[in-house]
Amino acid sequence: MSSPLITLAVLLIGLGAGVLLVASLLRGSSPAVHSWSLAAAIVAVVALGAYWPGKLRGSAQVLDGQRITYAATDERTAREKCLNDMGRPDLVQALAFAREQIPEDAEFAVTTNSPSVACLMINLFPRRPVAVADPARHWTVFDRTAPANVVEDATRQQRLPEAERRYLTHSPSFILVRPEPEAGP
Amino acid sequence: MRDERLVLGFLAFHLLVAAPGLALMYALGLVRPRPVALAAAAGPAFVIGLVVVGVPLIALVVLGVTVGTPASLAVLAVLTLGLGLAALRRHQRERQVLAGVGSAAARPPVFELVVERLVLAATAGYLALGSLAFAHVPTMWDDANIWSLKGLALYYHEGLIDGVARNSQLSGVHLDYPILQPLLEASFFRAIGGVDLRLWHVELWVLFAALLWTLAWLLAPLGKRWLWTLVLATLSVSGILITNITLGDADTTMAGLVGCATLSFGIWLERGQRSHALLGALFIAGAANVKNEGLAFGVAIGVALVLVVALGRVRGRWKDLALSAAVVAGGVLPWQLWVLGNEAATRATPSPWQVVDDPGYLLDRSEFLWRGIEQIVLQLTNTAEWGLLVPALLVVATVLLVVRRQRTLVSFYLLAALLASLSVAYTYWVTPFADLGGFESRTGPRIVLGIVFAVGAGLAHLLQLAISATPSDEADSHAVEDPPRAEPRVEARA
Repeated sequence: MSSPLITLAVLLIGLGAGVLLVASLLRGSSPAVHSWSLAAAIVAVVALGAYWPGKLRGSAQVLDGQRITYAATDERTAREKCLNDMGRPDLVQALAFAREQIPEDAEFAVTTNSPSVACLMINLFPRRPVAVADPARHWTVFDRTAPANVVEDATRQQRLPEAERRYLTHSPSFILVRPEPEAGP
Repeated sequence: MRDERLVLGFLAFHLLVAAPGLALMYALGLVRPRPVALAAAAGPAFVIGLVVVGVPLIALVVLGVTVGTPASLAVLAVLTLGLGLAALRRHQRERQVLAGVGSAAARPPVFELVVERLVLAATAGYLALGSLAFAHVPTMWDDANIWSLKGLALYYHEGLIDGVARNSQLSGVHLDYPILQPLLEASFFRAIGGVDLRLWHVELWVLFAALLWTLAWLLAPLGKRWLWTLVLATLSVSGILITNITLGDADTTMAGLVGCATLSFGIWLERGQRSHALLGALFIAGAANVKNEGLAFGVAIGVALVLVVALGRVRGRWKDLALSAAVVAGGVLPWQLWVLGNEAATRATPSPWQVVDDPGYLLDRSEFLWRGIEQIVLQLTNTAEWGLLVPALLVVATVLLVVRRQRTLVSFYLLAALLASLSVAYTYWVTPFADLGGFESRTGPRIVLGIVFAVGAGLAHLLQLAISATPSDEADSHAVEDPPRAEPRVEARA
């Protein structure tokens, strides 16, 4: 038998012995059937009661520690935690740039080589994500995934005034592409 | 101004969700129109209201209806009105009966009263003060990738937009997972006047407290209270639940609903009131719309019920069971049908019918099954988290079986827990995750939560029966075989 099953067997034997002991003490004070079930209930309640106060104290301490740990977290930091968790703290600034550029009522497609597309999405809401990008209507967000021609065009357009660019570059690896109708000349 | 809106919105949200729940409870004859009884039913009313409103909203979302504030309020108003009218009809029909219902139960001995109130007060204080720990919690990985992703999409775009719900880039983050919790999250943000992902954890904690309250409310009229207070207190202080809510996961919500469903059906087996069966069905529908495991545990409870009704000493319950099955099916089908039609919503765990024709695959993975069983036993006997909850149920149930008391009910609780455990073992058996060790450490403690709550519900109920002086099944088989149809009896609550 493996260790978890042995643990279970030991616990059951211990509680069973407790029931035998209590039932023998109750013998004579009530009908036999009732003595046994009463003994089982008493043992179960005592077993639960023995653990609970310590666990209550321990969990209360855990909760208090959590309250202190997170006391200074603001909403934006809370939402950006997944960016740091996936090893991409650079995306905090990059997505702030994207939120400045992409209107809130716009639609966007995002491609990334990071482990979580969802994490980028929750930091771009309320902008509406789309499953399939239509360059004529949707913004595109490239995070380390821009094809070579996009990188070239983005680099070339950096000489233009920002309002005239179609490609908006936060860093060489993070590029936004406006929908075509919005693009400058 | 923002704080005032937040507080008022928070209160209004809970009152509005509780309204149809309370109406349904009254219509089912489960609550009396008295101030104390209504106050005692507030927590369960919120939980029941959440399911009663949430399931139709899921159906609307699936049908492509825009579910923003107007649609949510319209559904809530229609349901509250309809159930309120049903409650009113019942009230008029039973006014005399209700007037005659008294709570003339004898006052319990001082010792029991002290234990009961001490444990309840400490648990309530723990839950109330504990909420402070969740007010500034950041959005963790699963929450960002699964739950709040959907919650925010529903909040901002009021439906299952293709960019999230049918986006193959997101197939890895469980698009098949049901949306009752995200729907609640979106509604919560609308009520408080905007998105605050940190505060969502407070609401999850409130929901957890309401689920414990629902268990207490179901148990309260059954007999001595001091016994089950310790069971619920043990459930309330687990660190696994703190972690789960901190992570923003949905396991606690699902498990609490599974516990409520198990207990409702247990009370139905003992007492024979259809209202408890319907309530149990509603809780299963809720659990299945929170997590897929809720559906698996619901099936486990359903199979256990069918077996004990078919083979046990209860008769004439098939109509209640059929009605309950219809409620569950109606509640579960909209989301499951939507998943079937969504190629991006791939299921991580293959269904039994997908693997049954490949016995070689199952045989090759028999080691996974064994490891799964060991992991389940390990988690259920984790005394640091659950005390002796599971061994206590096994011992009490065994004694009751040996002395031939409430064998049908005992069998139901044991079977429900066993079948629920087997459903978890199946997950280990067929999981596509190659790294079983990682799967065990990430998922092991929380995948058994539904079993733990079912066990807790069963133990709480059986303790009351064990200590009562009811004769054995042999001595008074009528009490078990054919319990009186109590409708339209109203439980003496509070």
